[in-house]
Amino acid sequence: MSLLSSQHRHVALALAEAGSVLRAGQYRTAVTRAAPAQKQSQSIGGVKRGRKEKWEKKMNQERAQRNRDIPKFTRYPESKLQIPKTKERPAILPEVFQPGSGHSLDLPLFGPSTLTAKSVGQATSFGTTQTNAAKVFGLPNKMHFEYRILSTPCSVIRDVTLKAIHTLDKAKGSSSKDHRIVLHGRAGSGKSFLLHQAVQYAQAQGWVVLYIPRAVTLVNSTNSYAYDIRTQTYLQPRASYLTLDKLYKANSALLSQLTLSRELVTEKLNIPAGTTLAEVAQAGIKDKSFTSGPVVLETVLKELETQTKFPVLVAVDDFQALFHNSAYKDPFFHAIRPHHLSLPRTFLEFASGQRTLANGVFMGALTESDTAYAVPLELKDALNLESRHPVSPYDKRDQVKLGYTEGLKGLKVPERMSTNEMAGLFSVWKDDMALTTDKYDELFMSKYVESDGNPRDFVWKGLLSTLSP
Amino acid sequence: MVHILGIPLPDNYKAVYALTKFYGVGAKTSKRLCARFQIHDTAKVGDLSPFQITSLASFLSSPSTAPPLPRYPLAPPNFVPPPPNTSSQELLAKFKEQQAQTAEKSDAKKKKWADPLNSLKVESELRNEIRENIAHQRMIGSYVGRRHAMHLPVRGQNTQNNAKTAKKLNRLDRW
Repeated sequence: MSLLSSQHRHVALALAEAGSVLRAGQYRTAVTRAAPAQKQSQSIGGVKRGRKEKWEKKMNQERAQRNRDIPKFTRYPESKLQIPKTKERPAILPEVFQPGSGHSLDLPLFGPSTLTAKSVGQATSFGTTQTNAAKVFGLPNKMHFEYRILSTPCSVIRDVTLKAIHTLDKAKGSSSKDHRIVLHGRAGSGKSFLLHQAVQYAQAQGWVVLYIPRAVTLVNSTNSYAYDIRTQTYLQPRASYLTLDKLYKANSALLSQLTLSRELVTEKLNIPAGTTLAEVAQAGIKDKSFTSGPVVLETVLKELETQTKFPVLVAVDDFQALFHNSAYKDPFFHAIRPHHLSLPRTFLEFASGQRTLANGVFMGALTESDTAYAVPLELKDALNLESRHPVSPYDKRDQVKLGYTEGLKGLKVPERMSTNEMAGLFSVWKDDMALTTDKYDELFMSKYVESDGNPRDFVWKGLLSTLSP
Repeated sequence: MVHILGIPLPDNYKAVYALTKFYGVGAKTSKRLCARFQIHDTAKVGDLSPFQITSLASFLSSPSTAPPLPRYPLAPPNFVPPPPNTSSQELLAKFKEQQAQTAEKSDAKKKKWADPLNSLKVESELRNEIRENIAHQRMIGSYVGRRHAMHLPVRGQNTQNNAKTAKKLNRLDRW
């Protein structure tokens, strides 16, 4: 029979465990130290008669109260706190919850064999090779958080996935002027996931892929910038360098089969014509001062525009951020327009058709959840998007930005997932042991209805935030 | 660690915050300074290039004598840049020529943009200005001057109980 109640025992053992991390002597002295002697108070400058005694009494009362709140077992020695019958540590978690237990979802791989009409509602996992686009380019924030919780990066095949894949297949071999697609839909409806699926499919099919998961980082003044008199724009050296590096890492095999048609001569570089694009990219990456990044990236992109050997996919998430005045300021303290920044200008030119890929597709995805960079009026006009408030024809639209929206085609991601698709999403979290209940039908139907079929709300506000037993 | 005008700026500080360590530079002025030298919002002092640091230091040592900011051209949507092997010095020279020509032709009546940073005073200059202001108030025999001399509050605060800061800091030779 233990001297302590079970509750106190658990806390004591937790303390003991924590103590065992420190050196033994250190913990023991902390536990067995005697209560401090009562302090004598000292007054400076003299006080009224009787007040000093009052202070001292009050201070001692407070000290006693504080000591009463601290449980006694914090002053017991370690030996007294062990479980009487065994010396074993208690509360061993099941093996599956131990770190490094190796539990992972067993899902088919995302690819042509799993992208059929029959597999709508089926969850598929993505490859985890080093050159995978997700690993190299990164992911949008919310997807990243989700994949940190899940044991395997995966997603559900939807009707709209097959539509997007079909668009990519149709566009293969033709110019990107006719294939500039923007994914739009309600917040949390799955636009970023769909764009990611398209990127994965393109990479698996041997396309050259340039994926920007967070275009907002190009306009929110988190990267260095410097005015360049030749291009008459503000270059973004570090961002260009990183994009070039990622483009090379994700597509090195394909880039080594493409060559430079014209020599590249700058102050620092002298690359002859005929060099492979992989070597050109490496030359830009070698310069750790980032100064060659923008020029080399532009050269590589220009070559990718003209070549027809491999189809190219330029995918930009947070696409609406490129239509906002950036957070950068020019020397006169005016906000820099997006088409005066090198990287946003590049993507705007691809989106508007001013620059075209001879063989490729431009795909953008809007983000409805970012209040700082909301979807602007110009994009809403171009894509015929619904607006919460009535839109007046007298509201000012920027003509330059409107120019960059010419010819954009919208692909709406449905607001609601079908029951089939939602069941697939539910089974992912169920199999990954994220649910607190075994009443699956009840949980599924209630959360499906509560979230109105919205995938993000279903997962984050439904499954992961539920307190239902 | 960088020392500008004798003020140490640790490398891990964000540049926008670090510049407020100068006496006379607050958050507003710091943002304008960063914009002038093309320092982005999240840049740390350790990430600044030597050129940026030296230009910051030379500017802050005398903001009023800094050269006027050139208005570089910004590319319109249909702009086609010259090839990469074009020398930037040539382009700069061309730009300066154009500026000189437009300066000749420009209307004299047109108001020139007043750079708020030109009237910036930092460190010793600002301290001198404050000292001169207090000395002037004393010289003309004003109430403000008298209060400074008596180490008492200047702006009409109560002195029955609190006036501790004034008694400590208000003096004629304040800085």
